[in-house]
Amino acid sequence: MPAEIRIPKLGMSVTEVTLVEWMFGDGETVEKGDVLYTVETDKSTTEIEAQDSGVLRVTGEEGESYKIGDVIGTIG
Amino acid sequence: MSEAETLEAAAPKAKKPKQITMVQALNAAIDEAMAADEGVILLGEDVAAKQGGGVFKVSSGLTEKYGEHRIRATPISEQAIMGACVGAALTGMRPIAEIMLMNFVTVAMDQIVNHAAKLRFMSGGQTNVPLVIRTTTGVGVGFGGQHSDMLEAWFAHVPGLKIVTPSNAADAKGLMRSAIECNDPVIFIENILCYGLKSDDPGTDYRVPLGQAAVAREGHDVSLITYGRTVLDALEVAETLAGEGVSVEVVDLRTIAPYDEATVTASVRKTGRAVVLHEAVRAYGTGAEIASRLHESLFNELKAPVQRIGGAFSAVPMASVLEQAWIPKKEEIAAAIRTTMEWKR
Amino acid sequence: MSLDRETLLDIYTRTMKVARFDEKMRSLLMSGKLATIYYTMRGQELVTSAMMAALNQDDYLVTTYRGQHDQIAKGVPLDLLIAEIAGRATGTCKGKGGSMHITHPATGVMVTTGVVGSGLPIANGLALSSQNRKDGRVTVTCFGDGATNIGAFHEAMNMAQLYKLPVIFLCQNNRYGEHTAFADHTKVDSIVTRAAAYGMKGVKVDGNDALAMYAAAKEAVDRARAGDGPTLIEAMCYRMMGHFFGADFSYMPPEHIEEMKAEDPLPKLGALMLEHQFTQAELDAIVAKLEAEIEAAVEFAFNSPFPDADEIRKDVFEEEIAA
Repeated sequence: MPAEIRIPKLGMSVTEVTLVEWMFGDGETVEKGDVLYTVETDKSTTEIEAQDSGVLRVTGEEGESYKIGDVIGTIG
Repeated sequence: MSEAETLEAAAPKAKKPKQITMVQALNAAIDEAMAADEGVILLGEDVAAKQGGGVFKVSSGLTEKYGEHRIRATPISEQAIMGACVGAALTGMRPIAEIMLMNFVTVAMDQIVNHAAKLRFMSGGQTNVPLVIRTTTGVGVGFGGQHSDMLEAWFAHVPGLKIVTPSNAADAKGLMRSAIECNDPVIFIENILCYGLKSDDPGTDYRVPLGQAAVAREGHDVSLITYGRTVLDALEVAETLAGEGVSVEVVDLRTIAPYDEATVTASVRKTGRAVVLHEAVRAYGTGAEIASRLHESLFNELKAPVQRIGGAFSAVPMASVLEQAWIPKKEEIAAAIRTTMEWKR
Repeated sequence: MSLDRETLLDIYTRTMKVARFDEKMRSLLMSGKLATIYYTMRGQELVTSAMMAALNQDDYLVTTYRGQHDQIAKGVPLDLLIAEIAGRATGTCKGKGGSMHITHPATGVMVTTGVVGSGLPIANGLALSSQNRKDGRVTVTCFGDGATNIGAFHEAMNMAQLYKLPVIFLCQNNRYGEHTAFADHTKVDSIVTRAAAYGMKGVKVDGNDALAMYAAAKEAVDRARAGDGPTLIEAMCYRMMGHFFGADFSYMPPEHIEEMKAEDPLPKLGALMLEHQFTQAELDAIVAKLEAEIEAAVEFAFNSPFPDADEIRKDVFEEEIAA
């Protein structure tokens, strides 16, 4: 079953982040530990690593705002 | 002699009950509790025999009976005192933390508010804190702004703490035993001006349950709800107003939080009028909570808005004439009662 | 300095359990599967394991919000711990404490605090209880360098020595108090110098040297149990990441980051084990078992229900609050 990619909780007060960039495209294969995407908060930009390996399915859009816990794709 | 007088003369004379002061009552309660349970200990500044058994003598004679490991004189370290008592309580001991003057609780607030009050909840009930925090305060002895505060409203606002204060020696004895046996933290507020009050000795193992108010004087025109030293003022005012044909019911909360809402509501339902009185600053005091709850539950039955009397909104002044002006006066209390009696909707 | 195989194995197992747990937590947080405040202990896995290996199950522990390593090394069951962090009804505290307030009296974990330094006075109370009851237990309270500047530290140190309490003050000096480097939060060169201020015995040790750390821990425990009073242990280590998961730690200079990597306790401990005639296969087998345990605990947690809303009315007082 594909693993969900959810926006992580990155700080004490952060509730929303902007998805800046996907490092891989829809349908590409990713390895656990690869930098998967970056997010921006009002504090800084953070790289998020893939926690699973497999085929990436992208649903979240670059430049859009997401809340903590929002699903932006799957790896399966 | 008549037959009745003969019988009376022959009957065994009832012994006149021994009188005890509030200090003696507290001392006896702690003594009894310590004899019954090895886990009851007292920590505080100057409490041991070496220092004279406490600045108000409440722990007099106890070191000699139970030892220095159970009556522990501490350095001037309120955080350490309170934390040690919290820790000991977590293991099932029943410590009594003495904070010499209520203003000094501010130094121990983290241990009281963040720990004692919350550990049962945050541990999901795995641990609890059967702690008694004894502290003394009171306006009218010229101790000034940092040694006279009544802070019960702060603690009433923190879920997890119980707060009690006796208005007489017998209640002091009964409330202290119950506070020590309570499995949750209890703040036991003593008033300097009440230490010398005398009651008939209620006897060994006397208990006053927590959360139970006492009707100190019955009446039917207005309910005067109060606690601690001001119960005495309330009783005096009630006596004076009785002469004017106003029947005042005086309710002594004894437990400030959680208070006996059933008794208070029943009283005000009966009289239709209420005045809440406390020595603590009026603004944002416990009177505001009680008045608000009475308005919520008895709005249509009230004959007048609930009145509140409390201390002035300033630090307690040092100069005697100012200090006296700060304290709620009996005339103010009487005036508030008359306001409720004369209210026209 | 040497150590018997059994104790080394014990320290290794606790350390790797903590290490794999922390990795798993960070992975769950990074994937967004878990969303909670989490103070990673990466870099402090060994210092706590060497301390806890010197204790009995019924010795008391007080720790802090950055305390999962202490709790795991002490023996808190992983399933109950992870369920609590995940806010489930099956957690140690029914979901009401969370990662910052883990409590588990069965393994001696009496309180975990979120206020810096506040655990130390409480540790004195646990120790005082043991002293009065003569039950032979000792209390360990873990805290960081940051906590040694707060009033509660000083009051507790003074009282502990005054009463000769069976307590160990374990300062895990990871060289940072929140975002502030050690040299920017105090003018003393070492925390250990503060012991003398209270007439207390103080010991400074490399927390990432398993042999030295265990020796210091054992001596302090033996002293306390014998009734000889408290010890302050300053155990040097590193906080290899930011203040909490997701926190930026670019305020750490590059030299410091290089130093941390060189002093990473995990490869050091692995090398030490091989020096003591353990085989890599043996070590891998232990780690594989631990990883399986952690996976099972995570599954337990995520399959557990959330607590009911009426839990809020329970455990405020002994009696339930009326609805």
